[in-house]
Amino acid sequence: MKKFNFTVILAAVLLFSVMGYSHENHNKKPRKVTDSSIVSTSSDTVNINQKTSEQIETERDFETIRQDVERSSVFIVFKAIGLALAIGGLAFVYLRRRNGGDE
Amino acid sequence: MDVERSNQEKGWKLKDLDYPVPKHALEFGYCLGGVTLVGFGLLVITGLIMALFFTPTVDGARISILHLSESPVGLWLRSFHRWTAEAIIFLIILHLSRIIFTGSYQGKRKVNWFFGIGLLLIIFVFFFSGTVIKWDQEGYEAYQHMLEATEMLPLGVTFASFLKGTAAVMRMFVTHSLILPLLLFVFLLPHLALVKLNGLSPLPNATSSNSTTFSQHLKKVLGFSIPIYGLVVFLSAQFPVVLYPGPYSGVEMTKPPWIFLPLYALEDKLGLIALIIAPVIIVIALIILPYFDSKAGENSKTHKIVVWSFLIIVGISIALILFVGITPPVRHLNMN
Repeated sequence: MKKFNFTVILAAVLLFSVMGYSHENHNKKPRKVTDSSIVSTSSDTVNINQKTSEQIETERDFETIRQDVERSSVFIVFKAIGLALAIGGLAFVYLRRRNGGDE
Repeated sequence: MDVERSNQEKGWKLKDLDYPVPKHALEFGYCLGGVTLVGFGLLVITGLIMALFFTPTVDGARISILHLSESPVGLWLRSFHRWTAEAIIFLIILHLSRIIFTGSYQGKRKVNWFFGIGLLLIIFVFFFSGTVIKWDQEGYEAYQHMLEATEMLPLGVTFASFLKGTAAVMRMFVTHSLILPLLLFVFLLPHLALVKLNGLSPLPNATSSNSTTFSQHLKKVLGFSIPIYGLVVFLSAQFPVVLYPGPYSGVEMTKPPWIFLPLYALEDKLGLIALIIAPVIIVIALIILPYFDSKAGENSKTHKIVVWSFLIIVGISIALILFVGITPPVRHLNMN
């Protein structure tokens, strides 16, 4: 019981310790990551005279990413349901035995 | 001379694997570890081939993968590597579930349970680092999450600064292809040796009788592996894996791989700190489990609490995966 209490208190302390955290600064502009840009500290310094072709490429890339992320939802659903069914199946087989129902 | 010949004859033979094991070693639930190990072998082979074509730099990583994917064989190889990794995550969770359901972490198997926890962590880091090194939008966002979460740890800023910069992909690649395989080997050897030493964990409420052999168990593992990885071969051909464009900084447009989605949901509520706290709580819970539920072989009340807690956590995690899976991505980071 002492171990159980210790676990509950530890879990509570860890959970409550995160309350003060908050996000900041969500207004940064997208920028392609390259060898030179990854070492730059001023990431918000986007050249306002960027070529139109770059903007078009960025928009096209974003649209592709959006579509790919949308499509991935189907697989996520199948994987999650598959995992739930598989764990459920194992639970059915082995818990029944543990309870002496199959022996 | 006769002694020398006799020693040579004593050399290792396939027949040496014919030592007795319990009959339930032939069940799927008790072959999950072996089937996962077969998957690792496939990952090593495909990973080595892909490494020959990979350029581990910020500018070169994604382009080298694109070049590889131009060939149908290359695309299939990459897809097979990813789908096999997904299968291993799936199988390892089932392996963990079976161990919890049968209470196989109890008694003398406690030490092996700790090695298993180590292996579980290594597998998840493997999966994560594999996501990062392709250096597309998904990989870059995963990398940024890792950096910002690391910076919250003691000495994290120093460590994160080591991971930043033009060598980022190279360092993650070395981690993925060298450090983690070595670590896996270090944990896997004692894990397997202890299974041999302690014997296979007994079936609850069953009389233990060694009525089959280990070589039969290996045949069964191969028998289960063939259809499972056969399905992976089919999935890799039918559903090639995506390589996102980019990467672009300052945006968060993707979601992490499905198994990390419960963490992603917690991150929505608690912020980046959830990426540190949730895994720490899970690992602590797994470490104390054999101490909390220590009565080997008994269908105790404590074991019922463990099983139901596990099932509830799994249920919540699956619900979170489904919820995050069907909702649009959310921005969490203060990206540079």
